[in-house]
Amino acid sequence: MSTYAIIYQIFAAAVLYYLCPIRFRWLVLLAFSYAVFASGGRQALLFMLITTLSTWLCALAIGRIGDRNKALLQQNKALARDEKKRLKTAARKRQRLLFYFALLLNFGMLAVLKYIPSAPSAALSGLYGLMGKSGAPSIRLFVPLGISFYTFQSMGYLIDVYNGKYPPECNVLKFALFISFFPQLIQGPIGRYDALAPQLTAGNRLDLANIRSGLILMLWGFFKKKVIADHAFPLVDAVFADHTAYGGAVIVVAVLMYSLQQYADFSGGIDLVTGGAELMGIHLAPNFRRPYFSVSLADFWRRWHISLGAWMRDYVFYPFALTRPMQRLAKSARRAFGADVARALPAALGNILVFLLVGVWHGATGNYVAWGLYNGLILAASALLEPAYRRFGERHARLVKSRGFYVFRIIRTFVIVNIGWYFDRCLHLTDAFAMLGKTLCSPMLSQLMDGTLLTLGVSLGDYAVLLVALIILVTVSVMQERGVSMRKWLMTLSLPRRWLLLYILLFYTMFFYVPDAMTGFIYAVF
Amino acid sequence: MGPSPQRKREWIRFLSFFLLPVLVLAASNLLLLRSDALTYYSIREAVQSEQLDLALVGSSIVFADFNPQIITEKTGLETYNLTIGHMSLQGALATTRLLLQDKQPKYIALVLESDNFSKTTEDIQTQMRLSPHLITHPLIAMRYYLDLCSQDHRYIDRLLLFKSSMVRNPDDIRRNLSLWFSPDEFLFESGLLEGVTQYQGRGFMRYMKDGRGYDALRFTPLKHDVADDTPGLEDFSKRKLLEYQALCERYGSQLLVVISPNSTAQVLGRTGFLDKNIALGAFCRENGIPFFDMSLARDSFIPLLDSHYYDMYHLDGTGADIFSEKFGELIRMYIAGEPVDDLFYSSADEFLDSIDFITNTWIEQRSEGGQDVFKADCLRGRTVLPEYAFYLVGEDDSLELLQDYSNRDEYRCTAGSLSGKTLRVYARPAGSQIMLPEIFNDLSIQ
Repeated sequence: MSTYAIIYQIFAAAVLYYLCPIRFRWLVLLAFSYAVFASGGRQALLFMLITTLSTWLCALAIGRIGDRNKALLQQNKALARDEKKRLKTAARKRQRLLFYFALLLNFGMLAVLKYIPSAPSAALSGLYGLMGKSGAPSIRLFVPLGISFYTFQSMGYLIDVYNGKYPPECNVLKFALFISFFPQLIQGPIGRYDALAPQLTAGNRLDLANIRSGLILMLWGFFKKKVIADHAFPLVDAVFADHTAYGGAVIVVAVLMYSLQQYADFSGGIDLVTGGAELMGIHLAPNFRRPYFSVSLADFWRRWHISLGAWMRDYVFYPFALTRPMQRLAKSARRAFGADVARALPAALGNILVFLLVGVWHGATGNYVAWGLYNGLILAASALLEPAYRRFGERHARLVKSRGFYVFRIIRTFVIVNIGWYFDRCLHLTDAFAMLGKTLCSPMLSQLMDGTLLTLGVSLGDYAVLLVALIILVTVSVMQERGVSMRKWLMTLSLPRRWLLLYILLFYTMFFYVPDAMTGFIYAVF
Repeated sequence: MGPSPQRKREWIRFLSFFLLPVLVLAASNLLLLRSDALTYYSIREAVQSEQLDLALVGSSIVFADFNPQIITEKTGLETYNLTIGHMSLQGALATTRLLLQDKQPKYIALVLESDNFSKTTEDIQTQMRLSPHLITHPLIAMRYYLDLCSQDHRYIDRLLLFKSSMVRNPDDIRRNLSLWFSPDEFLFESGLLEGVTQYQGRGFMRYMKDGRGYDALRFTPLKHDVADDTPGLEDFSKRKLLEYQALCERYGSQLLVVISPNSTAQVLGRTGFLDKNIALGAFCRENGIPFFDMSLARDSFIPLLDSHYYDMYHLDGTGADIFSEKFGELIRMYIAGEPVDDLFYSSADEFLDSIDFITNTWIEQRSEGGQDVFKADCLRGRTVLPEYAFYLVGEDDSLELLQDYSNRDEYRCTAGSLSGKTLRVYARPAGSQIMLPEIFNDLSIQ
């Protein structure tokens, strides 16, 4: 789905939202979300309905089993302890069956659609082969837009209900809105039911502050996506499509541009969506927090795609680290290696698992698995070495607290993250290693000066546009990193100054955005 | 109870923020667009004409192929071309709406080709060319904009039009201003009179013959290149045609739909090309719209050759004169109620069977069992059996015969034995005695 399509949809939805009486506004959102979804085809709608209904029904059933059991125990307080335990266990078992059924169904559907869309073709080919025939029809499953995001969102809800965090939603339509809320479908953020659902169904009043704030954020997002990301794209694409003609220096430029492109593309899209939701008085959870200011890889992943990181942390990392096998392992490690290692080992293994899953979620190919492992292993090593870091910090407190060391940590993290981007961006693992090898052993620095950089789809003018845009981006990011809320700060300025700054951003975007084609979002493919 | 005065003031302040961007946008779309002189003249002359009886509306095919002077002489109808490069049905509608504000010609001939009626999106450059003329007609402009965006959804790009075709330097801005205030100076500066083309008024651009087109047609392996493979007409195209018909009827103009002439090479090379024209013809007949497929005009009626083309699509001056004379005759006969069906082939099959020549040939190379295999192919009439001869072309353009004329379409040699050399194939119909026919092509062997 293109940048433009999202903007049109958001504006159309906002107009319809406010034209409708307040108590029906959430229904407008629901209808609109389903209309957006249906525009992708009946199959898209079918998969959405399967996820929505299966999750809602199973969560409802899980909730009712729990409530009935509680009521039963309340009514029969005189029951023996063993009997109470047996009832609880039986109820929990029934809940667990429903829980795993829903998990298997939805994650299974996601896995098949994402990784083996050609499964029906393969099955048919096999069947034809068994019958001695050839020419089996080719059937490729349709992959609905946003299936990853709404699957994660719905499963998060299911897990919360299973864990008793909140009771299940009884109204299927309200639940359907939570799952299908259209701005989130492209690339998140992955919402939590207790934070998001009340806002969606509240029926918000038209508020100029929301409109103003939402539009500013949308403009900022459009600027990042269409001025920065789309300007960087041609160079990144040219070098990664065929790196054989380029030395390490040009490859490094391409990786840095990819760093910029990916951040601007992803965060720009999120800002568009967040700003759009704000138009309707809905405040989505932040999904980015200036990740390139991170001081460690762990910090980076707490700032980049925050909602996915939080989802993985709450629903994979912690449950994994707290499993009995992990606890047993920790005990054994304490005996063998001491308390520090024992504390860090489950976290280390948890990180490897999480990032392996995140890598596979991007794609079941060697480069993504390598990317996941790369991040997971570094985080694991950091967790295990944390006591050593702490001791270093205690011994060299002044150095560690100095500005220079802070900058060093930011640069170090930036380098570590960018090495990971080699694996993330390359289509094949061999290419990633080849490009890394050239970076280290064959820089060909002369290509930086001989005009090669002007042959990669980016003109001198484009570089100038990018440079100015980068200055704007960095200035705003530094202010935000220092705790300034830009939109609130803008409102403290006098009207002329506020308008001047906004006009600078607006006209710069108007004159230098990259027009054309329906350039989509990088993360939309995941 | 309405909003408080304070809230009203806040809303007014908020909305007034957008005034400046709107003004900047309007000014940019007026001053920063690269102007198109031909469109300007074409529209200006038609709208300001004393009498306009026949308007020919279409893309660059119209300004190259239709000579309004000749058509006027032949028909007695004052004829003007209204042309915008790469125009599709949306642009045709907007241009015609613009014309009909001032002039109501007796006949409007909508000239179409496969490219502009079978695709539903229109080039953004077309909108750029037309936009300055729609500034004073906001309703037409809005309708046109929505029509375009309904198909490609480029609402933002089509609003910020100047982005897609911005002026290159301050001189371009000066030319934009002179377009409105001293147009003759603009025409002189715009490079229209560059020796290759000559603007001759009434929206007609004469392409000087230099054989370029014939070379383009001969040497481009068109081999069944399909513009798009949607069978039949798009629903959107049908709707727009009916809307066009209704528009003409409302202003008392008779609509005629004309398919422009095409080179035989294009017709043969693009699979489904004729089928689309036939589908359009059927649709027009169903809806009572007179339809003339000039690509099916009999050779005895319009003796156009591929050598009359300036490039792949446009006739040169000589070709335009030949065609316009006959087109004028056709219109005269039609208006007089004379039968015109005999001037056209009755079917695509009859037309294809009438082609007794080869239009172009080419070579493809492959490796096979230690040999280089050079396979020749050609576009030809259905009854033509081709013969091929293979030559080596020397650096001094001398020819060395490798394989004489025969129906064998392959030349084989040891792999690599011809590396760095140039292989030429000649193609001729079987039975022809011409040793070095016009139809040949070269392959530089790596």
